Amino acid sequence: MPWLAVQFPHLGVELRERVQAEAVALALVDAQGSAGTLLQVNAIALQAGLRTGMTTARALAMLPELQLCTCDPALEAQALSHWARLLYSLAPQVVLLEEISPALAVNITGNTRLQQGRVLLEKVAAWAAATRLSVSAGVAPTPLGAALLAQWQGAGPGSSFCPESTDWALLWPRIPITLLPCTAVTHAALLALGVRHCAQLHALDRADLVRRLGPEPLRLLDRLSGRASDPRPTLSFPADLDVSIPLHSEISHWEGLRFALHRALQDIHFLLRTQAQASRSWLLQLHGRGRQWSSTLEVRDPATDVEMLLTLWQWRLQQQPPDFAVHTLRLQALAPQHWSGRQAAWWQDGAEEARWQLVEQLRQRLGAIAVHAIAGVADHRPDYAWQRVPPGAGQGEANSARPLWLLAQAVPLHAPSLHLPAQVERIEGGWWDGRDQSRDYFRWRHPAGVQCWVYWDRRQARFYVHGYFA
Amino acid sequence: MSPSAHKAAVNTLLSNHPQRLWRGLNNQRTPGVAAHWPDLEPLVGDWPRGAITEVVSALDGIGELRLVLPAVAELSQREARWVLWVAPPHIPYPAALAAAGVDLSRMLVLHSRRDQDTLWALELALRSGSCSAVLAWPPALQDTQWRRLQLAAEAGNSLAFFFFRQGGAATVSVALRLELHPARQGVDVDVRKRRGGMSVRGMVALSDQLALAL
Repeated sequence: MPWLAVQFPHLGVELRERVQAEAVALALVDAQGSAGTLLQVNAIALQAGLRTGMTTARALAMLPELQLCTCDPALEAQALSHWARLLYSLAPQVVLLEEISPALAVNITGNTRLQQGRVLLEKVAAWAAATRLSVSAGVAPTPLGAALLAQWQGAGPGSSFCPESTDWALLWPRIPITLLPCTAVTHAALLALGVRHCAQLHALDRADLVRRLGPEPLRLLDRLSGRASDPRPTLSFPADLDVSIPLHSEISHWEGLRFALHRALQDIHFLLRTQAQASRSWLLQLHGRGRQWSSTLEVRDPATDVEMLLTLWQWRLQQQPPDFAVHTLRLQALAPQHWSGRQAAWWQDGAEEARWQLVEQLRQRLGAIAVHAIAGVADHRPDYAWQRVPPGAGQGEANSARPLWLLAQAVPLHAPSLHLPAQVERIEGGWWDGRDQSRDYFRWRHPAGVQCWVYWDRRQARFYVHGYFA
Repeated sequence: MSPSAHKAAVNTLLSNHPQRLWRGLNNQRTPGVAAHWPDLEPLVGDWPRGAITEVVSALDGIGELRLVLPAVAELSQREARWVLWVAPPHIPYPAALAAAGVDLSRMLVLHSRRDQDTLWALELALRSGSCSAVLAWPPALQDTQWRRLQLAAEAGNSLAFFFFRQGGAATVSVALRLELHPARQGVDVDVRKRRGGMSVRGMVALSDQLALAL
């Protein structure tokens, strides 16, 4: 019954780092101010000589430009939820290992293909690269064992992958006792007893150990080795696909928001692809101090890629910029639907997609009503014989007696020399919709040379120009 | 060497010149779209593709659309790309356009509130390569804006007609500039500028029957 565990050794600091447009030295501390201690440091801070466990005051003395951040449980829960969705694409049981925070495990018993180490570890590495998080992975017959293998640096190459029970029986006794998720007091007591590895703990008299240190160490050991069952509730998370990113500093310009929005789009897009889903509708919310900006983006093609979505959001934000400084960005994919990709035709050259992409770009920037097609309507009155329709839906019956230009509003005509000709096209009726009319239409050449479509309004006894034979 | 051989040799030399010398009166027709009006072809040849044709007409309704519609209709039926109308001054009437052979399913009409957005949309559409023809009624253009739009038209290989009420600045070099004047049986076309040709003027008879025999 093999489990895959993934552990995030630098989750807190990397969640901040991955939405920073510029590379900076970052450290996660346990408390604000110079009295705190460094819990995690990023690569730049590590290169500068900073290490976890240092006091903040010492770290700042070594690297004054160091940026400090504190743990954000909501942000970490969101990242774990994101990863849980990815792991659910492998198998139907994902659990949270609360004692080894932060870590997740998935039961891959039914998936024989993934039990080949290379396939599984490559997939996890690809996810880690896509989410820009450092991840350690381990495979063992117990979830706790898999998580400890992921953490254990001294196990040797390839030894973090141990799906077989026979191999596991030889491996778990070698795990250092310090990796067991016990209290610091228990660790100290075990080390004082000379216990360095799990095999030594296992060799001790159980009743005596319980009397001295309580039942916890043995309970952990039994769950680690597989001697005792380790039932855990399946992890659940909200159905909505959304990403919330707190910005390191307040931002009031597009360039600053761009990087964080790109990250949020990539995260959700990647997640949707993993679950064979796609979304046509996106909601972006920007939060400031007591202010909020919200906008929904509708796209025609669910396969719209991240770069195009980013461009569309850019235009939207440049057209309707928020008038406040933003401290948190939240992006949500609304109503994701099943999407298994598009079948490419043999001779497809992408021209059709490009054609619709142009419409998409125009409509997003200028508004949906700014771009349209024109279609004929089965109505004998010229004013109502046409309508605006969505792009691509244009159609209509041909009538060469109609002008190429129709005036939106007929213009009264003052031409003393104009007389009603013998042949006219009489158009009347419309009592059923309250737009009754009675007109005699004919062509007339204006003295200036313009070919006009003129009608005589029989009720008003007046001439009007209604179009041009341009 | 005979005089004709001399002339051929000089022509070859000029054609292969690394600076791509401009040569007036060379009568070389640039690849374009047929105008489909017998009287117009001697004046302008084909409508140039990948370039902007400026059409100046002080009045609406003197035949400015009928002049260009046969070529636009041909493209709408032949190519799976948009025919984009940018800021038309009136409503392009579907019954008449269908009668002229325009495929209405390929047609797009665009109106924007600001001139700046109109220029942006024009550049995007011309550059995208997704429009077989662009018919635009843009605001007055500055030289730099002309240049940008010309480069976009070259990139997208569209047939582009820009309609103006008044002639543009003389400093701008367009591929083809026409001034239209009303005439009894058609339209009087004054070719003010043409690449590889001299200014000419002539009457183009326009029939009401626009449908193409494609």
